[in-house]
Formats: sequence, structure tokens, C-alpha cells
Amino acid sequence: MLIEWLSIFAALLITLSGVLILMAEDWRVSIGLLAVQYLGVFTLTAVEWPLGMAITRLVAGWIAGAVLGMAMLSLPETSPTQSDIEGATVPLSAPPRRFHLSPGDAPNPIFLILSAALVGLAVISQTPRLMNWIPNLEAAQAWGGLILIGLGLLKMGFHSQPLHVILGLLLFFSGFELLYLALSAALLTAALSAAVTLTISLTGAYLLLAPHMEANE
Amino acid sequence: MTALMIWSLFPGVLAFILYSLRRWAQAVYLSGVIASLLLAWLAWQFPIGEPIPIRLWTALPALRIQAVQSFFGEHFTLDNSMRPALVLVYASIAFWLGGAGAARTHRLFAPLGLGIAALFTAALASETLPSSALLFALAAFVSIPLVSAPGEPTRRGALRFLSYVVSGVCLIIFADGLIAALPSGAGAEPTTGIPAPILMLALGFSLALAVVPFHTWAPMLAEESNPYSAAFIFYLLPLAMSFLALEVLIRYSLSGLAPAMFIVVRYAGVLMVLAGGVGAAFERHLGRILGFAAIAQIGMMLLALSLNDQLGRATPLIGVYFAQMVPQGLGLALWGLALRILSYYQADLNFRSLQGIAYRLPAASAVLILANLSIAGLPLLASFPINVALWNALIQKSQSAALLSLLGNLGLLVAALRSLAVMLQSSEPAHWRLSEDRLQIALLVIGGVMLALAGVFPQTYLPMMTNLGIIFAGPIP
Repeated sequence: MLIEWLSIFAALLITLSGVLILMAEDWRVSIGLLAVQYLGVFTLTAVEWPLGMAITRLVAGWIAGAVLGMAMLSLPETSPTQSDIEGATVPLSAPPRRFHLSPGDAPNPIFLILSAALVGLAVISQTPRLMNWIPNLEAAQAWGGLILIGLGLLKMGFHSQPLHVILGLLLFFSGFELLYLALSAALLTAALSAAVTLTISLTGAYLLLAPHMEANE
Repeated sequence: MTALMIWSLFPGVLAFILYSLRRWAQAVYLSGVIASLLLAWLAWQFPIGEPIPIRLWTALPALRIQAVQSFFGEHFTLDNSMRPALVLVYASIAFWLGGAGAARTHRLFAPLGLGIAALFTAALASETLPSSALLFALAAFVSIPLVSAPGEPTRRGALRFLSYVVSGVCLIIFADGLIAALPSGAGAEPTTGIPAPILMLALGFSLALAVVPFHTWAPMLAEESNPYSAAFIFYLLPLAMSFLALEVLIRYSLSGLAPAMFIVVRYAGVLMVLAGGVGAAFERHLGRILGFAAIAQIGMMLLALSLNDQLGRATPLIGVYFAQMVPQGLGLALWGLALRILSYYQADLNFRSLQGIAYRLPAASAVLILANLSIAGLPLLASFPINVALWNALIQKSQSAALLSLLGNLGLLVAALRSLAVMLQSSEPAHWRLSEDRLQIALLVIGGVMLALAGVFPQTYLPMMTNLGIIFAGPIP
């Protein structure tokens, strides 16, 4: 019973953090939410896998967030990339520009909420079918996995800046990991999945910093 | 010593060493070429799993390369049937690294190229599809600095490429897991049409192989980044993914899940050749034309794969798929090199900016057109003999597929003629002069001669490549 409640709580945590990552304008908030999301992914994974294996998801996810955060902090204050990421026109009363993630033409929040709601409807309709295909998959895992995939696709589709796309990829990949955990608990696949999570964030960090590196580095 | 250590771990470690020595660019390129050639030669010469008669002194026991390596509870196997693929991968890497200096690629090209080869080898060696696909995804991530080099703005094409590859890999792994979980045998429920996991698998490969309509990243990448690096990605990533696709096709057709898959692959190939050809014919940017040509080439690769439509076994026609790789690699490498030289002297590759450039850069312009014509399958050039073999086999299975793929290649021919017309068009009286440096001219001339020789004397390499394909795909009854 406790496990069921934990699973439901984790699925809610994943949904909430995923929707907020989709809408967040502050990169620090986004990375904080990513850490919360990985906590939910870890909880749902621990239901199916041994704790030692499940914790790799949490550690890999948190390191991925830390890598992205360090890359953002390393951006020069006045860099064009940062201006792209943080928006060109911010009123004087607003917090410092480096805290903002989306440019002025970011999708309207209402539009984002409606899109997330559509994803939610699609997930509600597909969860039973998926549970039919994978008998070991629990409803909370199926929900969490599908919602992360959907929100990740939205995030990747709505933005073209490296940090947004990388956050979208991380959401998408976490969703896939949740769905796949009921199909296989192979040690190598788990290790490679963690490696892919870390490589996504390292690639993101590289893409954020590459424009400011020297050409011959 | 295991085969995985020689052909995956060693190049991986070497990639790190070369990365740390990247300040000495020429030495790094040279070391990369030598190491790749050595690895290709080792794969060519030494049998795996058998005693090798090399004894430096009599007390030394006979060397034996073990085929299987266990890692995290899974087996990585590189046996004798894999040697052709190893030869091809490392010979290709050596060939591409050889031109990288003249193409003025970023100095990370050599270490990253070797790293990608090491990951591909591990992916080929893995006995499970999920591990192979994840290693492939890691290789795609490693390739990002090649197309979005330090000091340059982040490319949208690179981000899109990443998104598609990761989505494709996830779908492939998930579909594989679902197929394994499906009930089979007498107790299985009969299904109508193609099962959903097979569709998912097809979608996954479509995303990873840039099958239409998921092809948009290819022209973007070719437009935005160093054309030589883009051409390298266009050649190597689909090559590795097609090895994986071939394995999956043979494995799943054996289980009788969907014999219709071969027809799906055939029409996906036709669609790609057609989309690539038509896109190239109407395009006005030389970089994007290269991207469309690469799409058409992946389509030709899929067409060759679809010829092997016997359930659960390889047929001699698999040789066509393998033999294709030489002219494709040669054509794409020369195209990328010539285009890079043009873009070095003239950054904007739009037709409007390139009028009369053939007078200033005649060698690069001539080889660019030659490579384009070769890829289009013009007689007496490298791709022609293998394209004829492909169309001969294809027309017996599907006349419409053969005709439509011919039409796609016609589009590439039109693109070559349009490019030629633009490069020769000059409003003022122009004088010919060579602006390329000596190394570039030497490589361009050697490459152009190779394109012609490969077209005129295909018997020098086609039988060998066909045999390699047959060995790779397994026994033929």
C-alpha cells in the first residue's frame, strides 16, 4: 500500500516538475525542477529495480543537472548566447538577466498549459494500452514515462536554444527509461543509460560554451 | 587479448591521447591515419579466435585474439564474420582523416573520428540491440563537436540531429523490448497487419537514418557546418546504423514477425532517393545540395538492404549493399573536401555568391562537379557500376521502385548541371587561376582520378567488397 502511494506521489511529482520545466523562464528553477523530477524517476524505478541500480538514475540525473548549471554559470555575462537565452528586453525592475531562460518570443504560458493538457489527455488514453503490452508495468510508471516523453517532445519542439533542447532531451530520455525498466533490468543497459544521460548534459554544456571557446582549443 | 580491446578499447584510449596532444594538429592527423590503417590491416590479416603464426622468439606462445569479451554481464563478440566491417570502418576513418588537414577541419576531428569508430565497433560487437543502440547514441553525441566546432555559434541542425537520433534510439530499444515480451508460438494471438512494435522499430530506424520526413537535419547540417565534417557524419553514422538495421532485419524476419518489413524498407529507400534528388535539383545552396545528396545515398543504401529479402538468411545480393560503400564514401569525401575549399575562400555558398568561382578555384569546382556526377550515377564514374547492379536486381522485384530511384538520381544530375552553370557564369571576362594550395590540389586530383578509375575498372574492388558483405551477413545456403 505504501509503495502504491509512493508511486502515485512520484508520478504527480514528475508531472508537476515536467510541466513547470516546460514553462520555467529561470534556468536555475529549471535545473532545480530537473533535480526534483529525477527524484520522482528514482522513486518509480526503485519500485521495480534493486535500490543500488535505481540510485544510478538519481545520481546520473543530478550530475547532469549540475553539469548544465555549471555551464550556465560559466557563460560570460555579456555573451550573445546568453542574450539569446535570457531575452533581449527585460525591464529594469526584473531580476538580473542571467536568471532568465526564455527570449521574448517564447510561447505564451497559456498556450504551454494547453499543450501540456493535450499531452495529458493523450497519456490518459494510451496508458491502459501500454499496460496491456507490458504486463509488469505499473500505472504510475506508464503515466510518468508517457508524460515525460510528451513534455520532452514539447520542450524540444517549442525551442531551438541549446539549454531548452537539452532539457527536453533529458525529459524525453527519462520517460523512455521509466517505460523500459519493466522490460529489462540488464546491468549494462542501465549503465549505458546513465552514460547517455550524462553525455546529453555534457553535450549541452559543450553547446552552451562552444561559441565562447577559442577556435583552436 | 580480446578483439574488443584491439578494435574498440585501443582506439578509444588513443582518441583521448590524441585529444590531449591536439596542439600539434598535423602530428595528430598523421597518428590518426596510421593508427586507423594499422587497425584495418590487423582486421584484414589476422583471424580471430585462431592461433596466429607470429612468434618473435620460440619461447613465445602463439598469439590468439579472443572473440568474446564479457562486460557487465553481457557478451561483446567480434568474430571472423565481423572482420569485413572492421576493415571497412577503420579504412574509412583513415581515408577521411587523410583529407581532414586539407579540408581545414577542427583539430578535434582526428580524436573524435577515432572515438566514434571505437564506439561503433563496440556497438557492432554487442550481442543485444539495446546496448548497440545506446552505444550508437553515444557516438552521435561524440560527433557533435565536429559539426558545431569551438568558436562557432551553436547550430540548429546539430540540435535537431541530436533530438532525432536520441528519439530514434529510444524507439528502437523500446520496440526491441516489446518484441521480446510479445507472446509467440502456438499460444500467440493472430494479428492482422504489421504489429505495433514493428512499426515502432521502423519509426526508430527512420528517425536515426534521416528517412523522409525526418530528414530535415541533413541539409541544415551541411549548410551550417564544415561541409567535410558534415559529409563524414553523413557517411559514417548511416553506415553504422545500417549495419544494425541489417542485423535486425535478418533477426526479426527469422522470427516471422513481419516479412513485409523488406517492402517497407524498399519504399522508404525510394522515398529518400526521390526526396533527396528532387530537393537537390531545386536547391540553390551548395551545402544543402550535399545534404540532399546524402539523403539520396542513404536511400540507395536502404534499397540495397531491401534486396536481401529472404527470411532469416543472407543472399548474395547483400554484396550490393556492401559494395556501395566504396563509391559512396569516395564521392561524399571528395564532395565535402571540394565544398570545404570553396567555402574557405567564399563563405556564402548560395548560387548568387558563387558565380564565376570556377575561374578562381578550378580544381575544387571540377572535383565538386565530378563527385556530384559520380553520386548521381553517371557512367564511367565510381557509383555507376554498383548503381547498375542495384537497379538490375531491383527491377526484378519492383519496377516502380527502380524507376523512381532512377528519377531521384536524375535530380542529382540536374543539381550537378545547375551548379556547373553557376560556377562558370561570370559577367566580366575571367581568367583561370589556381587559388587552392598544393596539398589541396594534390588530394583533389588524386581523388578525381580515383573516382574515374573506380568507375572504369570496378572489377578491381567490387568482387572483394561483395565477398566481404557475404562474410559479414553470415552463411548463405
